[in-house]
Amino acid sequence: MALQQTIDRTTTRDTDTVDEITRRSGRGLWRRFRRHRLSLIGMAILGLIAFGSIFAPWISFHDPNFINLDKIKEAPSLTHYLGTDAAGSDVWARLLYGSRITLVIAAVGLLIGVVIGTLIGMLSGYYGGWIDNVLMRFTELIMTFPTLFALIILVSILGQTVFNIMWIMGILGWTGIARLVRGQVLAIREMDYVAAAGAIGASDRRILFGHILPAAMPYVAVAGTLGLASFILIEAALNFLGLGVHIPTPTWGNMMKGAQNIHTIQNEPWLWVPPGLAIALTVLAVNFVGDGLRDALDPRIQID
Amino acid sequence: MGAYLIRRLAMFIPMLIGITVITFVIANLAPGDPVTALISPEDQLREEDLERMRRALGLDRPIPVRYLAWVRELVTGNFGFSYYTKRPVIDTITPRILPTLELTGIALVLSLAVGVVFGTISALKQYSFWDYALSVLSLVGLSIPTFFFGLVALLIFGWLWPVLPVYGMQSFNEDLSLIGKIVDNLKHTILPASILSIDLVATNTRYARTAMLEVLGSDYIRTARSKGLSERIVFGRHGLRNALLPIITITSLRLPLLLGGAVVIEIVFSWPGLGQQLVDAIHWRDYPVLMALVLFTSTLVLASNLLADVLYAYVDPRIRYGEAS
Repeated sequence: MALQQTIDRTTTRDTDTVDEITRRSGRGLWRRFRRHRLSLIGMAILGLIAFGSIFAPWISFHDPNFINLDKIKEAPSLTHYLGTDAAGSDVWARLLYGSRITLVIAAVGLLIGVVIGTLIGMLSGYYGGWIDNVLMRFTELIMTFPTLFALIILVSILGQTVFNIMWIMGILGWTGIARLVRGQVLAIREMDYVAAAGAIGASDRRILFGHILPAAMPYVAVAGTLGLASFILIEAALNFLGLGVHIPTPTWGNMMKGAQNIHTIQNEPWLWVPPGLAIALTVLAVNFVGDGLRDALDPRIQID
Repeated sequence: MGAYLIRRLAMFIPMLIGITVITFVIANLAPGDPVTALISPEDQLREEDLERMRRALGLDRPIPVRYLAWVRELVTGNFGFSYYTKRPVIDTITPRILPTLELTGIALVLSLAVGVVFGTISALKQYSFWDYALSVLSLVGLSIPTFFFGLVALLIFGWLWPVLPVYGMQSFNEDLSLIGKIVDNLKHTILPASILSIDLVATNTRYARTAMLEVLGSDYIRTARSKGLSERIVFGRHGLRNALLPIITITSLRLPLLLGGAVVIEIVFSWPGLGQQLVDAIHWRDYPVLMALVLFTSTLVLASNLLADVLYAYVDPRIRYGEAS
């Protein structure tokens, strides 16, 4: 006990380096993250949504795509908790099954974006010079295209399928992560252990993936979490406009598509309020978690 | 400042070329030839004439040559002909530009004003109730989809409490005076522009708070205070100005998102701008119009980024006097 305290005292004396090391290694990240109450609430909400998404068949007793023209736009009742939509399908079931498509598109799209962004950011930051110049100008070029414009057009040209939406979102949405990773790699590259790895003859690939990537990983995690929030929103907007996944496949966005007239907005709130709240709640939870991660890691990081 | 600006300007041209290359690639993915689309559909042409025109336009040439031919037409203002209206694309798009610029411009100004005020309050009263409330509120604002806000606004102002118009950008009232028309138009702008700005207000609040905290903790603020300057001068002349610097950059980076948000807002509020044109053109598979929209919006973003850089150089004395790049 006493020894532990001594160690603590001596090791924390040089606070800057210790902070730097724990921050880079991600150790202590969880401890600081836990202190952030909102992010714990966010985790709880996400757990609940994941539960509903995974166990959808056991929580709803209707087929989400079952069309029943005798039961169009019925108000919520004990058989249909959230009523029925314009095709007579159960809204509660569509909400649960819709979470699957919505979250899978956003998550896979994000993953593609994270991989591209991390690779480009690492190469750019590590090699510098003309490679950096070319890659960063290319990144800025992609950034000038309004994402939703480009996404809508590419998806409509190549076909409104789940698969297309995922990879197109990925190839459009990596720029923020690339810039963040590049900045971090520029700093990590100068650290002693990287120089040491170079001195013992480690190859570029080994230094990049074995030494630099792990140190940049916490930053990728923060940017990825906050990126997930914007991916869900963009995907929801695409589907809301009716330019995403085709009906009858339910997504939270396309469930609200039918609500673009004042009659529905006034008289059939069960058609658009539940999916709208589901999107808002999910994105809020993701943002809480991302914010907590960022504060635990380094409150100064800015992601564009 | 001169060298800095010249370097920035020099970047503008290659970026513009990059935009046209990417647009051309997308255009080639679309069914129909981008150069064929340049020929007016109203011209009744014989097959050999068409063939000659194709050759004149370089359609039998390799792709890079066709790209150059396409760019040459762009430079002369020929953006092709709409598949749907059969009229030049440029005539279809031009009337849509001003409504979108008005909508996004007002949203931008709103987000800057409100965001900076909120961020400043947050920073000056750090860790207070207001700081906490504003940071949670800005997270909530960032998380609720724009179209959900829009639908709720339609519910409230279109039905429950109809004090503000929720449809289009002007009333169907011919006998308004010029002033009356402007007031009428501004009333129509209030809801769509403020809902469009929510997202940017939230980000600006957060960035303004961070920037302000950083500035308030800096040495020159302590110096200003110890010189005995009043809080107002310390804050107004030394604090706010420096805190605004990062906001300029952040705002210019968020412009593409603002334009994307405008698509959704224009649909919800039936605002006759570029976003509505985009959705219409998608439904009609009107590829020449779509390509022109991509070109126009991305060039707009590029130009705004350049403007932001110029503004930045002007505001930041370190760049103005050529100290740093």
